Amino acid sequence: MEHGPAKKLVTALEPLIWGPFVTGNFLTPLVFPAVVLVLGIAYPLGWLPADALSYERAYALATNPLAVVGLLAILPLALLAGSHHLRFGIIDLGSAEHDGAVAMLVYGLWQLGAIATAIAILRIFFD
Amino acid sequence: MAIPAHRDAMKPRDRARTRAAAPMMPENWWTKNPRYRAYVAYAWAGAFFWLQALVFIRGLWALGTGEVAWNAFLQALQNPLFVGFHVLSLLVLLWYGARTYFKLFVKTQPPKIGPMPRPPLGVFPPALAAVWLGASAVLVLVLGGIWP
Repeated sequence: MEHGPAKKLVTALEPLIWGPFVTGNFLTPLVFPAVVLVLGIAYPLGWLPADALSYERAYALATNPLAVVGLLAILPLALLAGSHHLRFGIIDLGSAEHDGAVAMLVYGLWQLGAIATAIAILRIFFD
Repeated sequence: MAIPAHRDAMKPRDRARTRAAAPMMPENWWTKNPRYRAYVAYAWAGAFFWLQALVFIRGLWALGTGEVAWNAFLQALQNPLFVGFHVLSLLVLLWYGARTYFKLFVKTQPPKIGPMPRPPLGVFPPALAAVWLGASAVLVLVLGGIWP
């Protein structure tokens, strides 16, 4: 099979992608379930103290330096792990010949997601 | 001294008497075996990484916009469809984590970690379970307003 420039570029970058992918692969299930449980289930069902997610408390939590570093690391890593997984999920279901285009799409979306994460965090400080 | 094998070392010397068809994988190969289904589901769990990260980024964006936007975000989280999505997402993430930490992690450890010999493989699942439970407990207590 002849490979186009996109596929060649992705193949060359594969070792660079692999490290952050494995890190995201490890950290995402470590952190996300607890946050989903609190934000997506416990809060709507009224299981939390009344002011647990008040604006003042959420602001204080999100501007904590440890939280800022954590968010800047975990969200882009989770997006990269998700992108890499989806790329290979698509290949596995029979689209290997389109890998170059698929990879450009999923990693391009990952870059947009990582930039959006950084802007969203900066906005908390400068708004 | 060992040298790398040539990439065609295993190629037959002579042409086969009959032409071999190019190997083709059936489109529904992944439905044939529970292991294949789990393998494909593991890859597609990446969609939940994306969806969940987008929800969190949306929340951070609302927090940066101000109190009214943050309260609107919290209000949206109470939609039963959103709650249903989060229950499904939690189940997928827990399954993905259990598979990563307790099934795949031990299979991917090299014999040495840096200069140190690798600990016995049986150590990893309980250690990872402790780390997972500990990290989850701290996050739930802090985010949930229970501690400190």
